[in-house]
Amino acid sequence: MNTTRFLLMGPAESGKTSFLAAFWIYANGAEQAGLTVKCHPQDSSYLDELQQAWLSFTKVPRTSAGTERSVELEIIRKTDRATFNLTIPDLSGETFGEIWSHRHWTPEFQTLLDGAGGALLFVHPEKIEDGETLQDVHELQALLHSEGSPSKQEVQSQENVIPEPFDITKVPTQIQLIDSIQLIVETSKLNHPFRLGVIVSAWDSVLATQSSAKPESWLKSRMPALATYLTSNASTFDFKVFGVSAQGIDYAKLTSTTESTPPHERCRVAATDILDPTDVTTPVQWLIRKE
Amino acid sequence: MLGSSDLEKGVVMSSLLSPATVPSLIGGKPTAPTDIPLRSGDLLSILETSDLANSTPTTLVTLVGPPDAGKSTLLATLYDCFRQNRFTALTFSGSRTLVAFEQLCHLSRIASGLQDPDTQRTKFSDEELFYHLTVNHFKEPASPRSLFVIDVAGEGFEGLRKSYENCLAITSLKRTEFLTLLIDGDKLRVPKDRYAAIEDAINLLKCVWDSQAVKPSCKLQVLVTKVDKLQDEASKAVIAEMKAVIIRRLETRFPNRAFLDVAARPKNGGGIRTAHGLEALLETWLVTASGPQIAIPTPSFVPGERESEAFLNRHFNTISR
Repeated sequence: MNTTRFLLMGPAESGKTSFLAAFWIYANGAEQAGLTVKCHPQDSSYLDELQQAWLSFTKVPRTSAGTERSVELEIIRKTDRATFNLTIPDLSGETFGEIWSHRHWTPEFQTLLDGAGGALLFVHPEKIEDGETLQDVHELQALLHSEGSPSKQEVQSQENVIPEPFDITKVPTQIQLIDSIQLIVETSKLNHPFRLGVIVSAWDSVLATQSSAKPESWLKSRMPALATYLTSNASTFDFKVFGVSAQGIDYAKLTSTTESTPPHERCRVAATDILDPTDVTTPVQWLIRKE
Repeated sequence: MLGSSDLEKGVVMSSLLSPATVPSLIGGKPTAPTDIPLRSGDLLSILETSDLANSTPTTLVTLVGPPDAGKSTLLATLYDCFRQNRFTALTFSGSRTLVAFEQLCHLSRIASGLQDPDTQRTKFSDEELFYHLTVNHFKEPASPRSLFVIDVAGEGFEGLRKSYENCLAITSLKRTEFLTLLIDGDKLRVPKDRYAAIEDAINLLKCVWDSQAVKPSCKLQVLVTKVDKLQDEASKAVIAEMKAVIIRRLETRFPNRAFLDVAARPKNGGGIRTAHGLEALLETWLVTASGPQIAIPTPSFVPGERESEAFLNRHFNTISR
C-alpha cells in the first residue's frame, strides 16, 4: 500500500472544496475515472454533505478557518491495480491566505507540509487581483484617445487625493501565491522536485470567453510571474497546469437540459497530454503517477 | 486537536474520514508561542542575505542619486516588469523581499486610489537594507543569479559627496560590483539646475573613489533618468556634454564605466516605452557580472571585526583590491 498525503491549497473560494466533492463522486463510481475508491469510508458524513450539495446544483459549503477537514481515502489506480491511501487535508482559503499576510504558521501545519507528496494549488480565474498599474492605464488611454498625458484638471485633482494605505491582503494574487509557495519550500521537508498541480478552476468560465484557451497559456497570460517562477525552478517543482470544471455547470444558468446531465458527465479537465477530458480525477492521478 | 505525532502515526487519519474538524492551522495575530515564524518578506539585512549568497551567484548593486532622481521608481518598475514578464531575455525566479517590493509599488497601482503613478520615497536608514531578486537569463537558463540592490536614500547621497567618513560608513560599498549613479533628467533640462546636478555627481564619484570606499574593479554606471523628456536635439547635446565632462573630470577614477539612458515611467510617449533601458541595465548587472561564486559557509566573525563587514568580506568579495 502506498501512502500519500497531498494538499489542496489556494485562496478563499478558489474551488478546492468543489473539486474535492467532484473527486469523491467520480472516484466513487464514474466508469471513466482512472481512480476508484476501494472501500467506503467508515464515516462519510462530510463527503456526503459535499455530495448532496454538488448533486443538487447548490454551492458546496466552503471550508472556513476552524472547520477544516482531512479526508482519507483508500483508492485503487485502475491501470495497474496499485492501492493508495490518500490523505487530503482540505485547508481553508483563509488559512492559506494567512501565510502571506501573517507570516507564521502552527506546528500542526508544518507537520502537514513535511513529507507531503504533492499539492494542488487552486486559482479561480474570476477571483484574481491583478494589480493593474496606473502607468498601464495611462498607456491604454493614450492608445485609445491618442492623448498620453492627463489633463491639467486631472493633475490638480491628484494633489487632493489621499492614497489608500497599503493593504497586504490586496496585493496581486500571483505574488501572494509565489511567496506562500516559497515559504513552504524554504521551511518544509519536501521531496524535490515537488509535484505541484496548478488547478485553474471554473475552467468553463474561461472557455466561455476564449474557446481555444489552454491552461498553460492562461497561466502565462494571467499570472506570468507565477508561471516563470515555477518554470525557472525546475529542480524544485514538477508542475503541470490543469483547467478543471468541477461543478461543470454554471449554477446561475441552470436549465432543465443542464439539470438532467448525468453526474459523471458534468466535469471537464483540460491539460496537455491527458487521456480523458471527462475524468476529474486526472490531476490526482498525475500527482501519484509512477516516475 | 490535530497533533504532529498523531499525524505521523496516522491516528487522526485512521478513520477514513476524520469527523473532527482541524483547528485553525495558522491562526491570526498575536502569534502563539508555539507558532513557527516565517521571514517577513521585507528588505534584507546583510546577514539575512547569507543563505542566498551561499546558494547562487550573486551581484551586489548600489543605487545612488539625489532625491527625486528616480531610484525607487526604477526599482519599482523593474519589479513590475518581472511581475508582468515584460522582459524578453530575463525571467523572474524568486524574491525574498516581495512584501517590500509590493509596498514600494503601492502608489503606482490602481489600488492606491491615485490617478497618476507615484513612488514611496526611500526612507533614510542607518542600516544597510537590500532588495532581492533571483533572475534567470535565457542565455544561461540553468544559472539563476541573486541580485541584491541597496537603494541609498537621497539624504545618503548628500552625505556621500561630503566626506570620506560617510562613504566608508556604507560598508556594502566596499563589495559592490556596480555603483549605479542616477542623474535626474529633469534637472538636466533646466539650465540653472543642470550644472549643480553634474557637479554633485562628479563630487560624489570622486569622494567615493578617493576614499577607497569601493574596490578598483567596481563598475560605474551613470544613468540619465526620465530621458523621455530629453528627446529633442538640444537635450541630446546636453547629455553628450555631460558625459564628456564626467569622463574628463573623473580622470582615471572608475576605469570600468558606462552611461545609460532610462525612462522607467515615461509620461508623454514619443516613442519611449515604459521601462525604457531597464532590461539593458539589468543585463549588465546579471551577465557582465563576475562569474559564479564558490559556496561559502555561514559567516563567522573575527573578534572585533564589524559583523556586517565580515559578512560582506566573505560573501561579496569576488574581486579584491
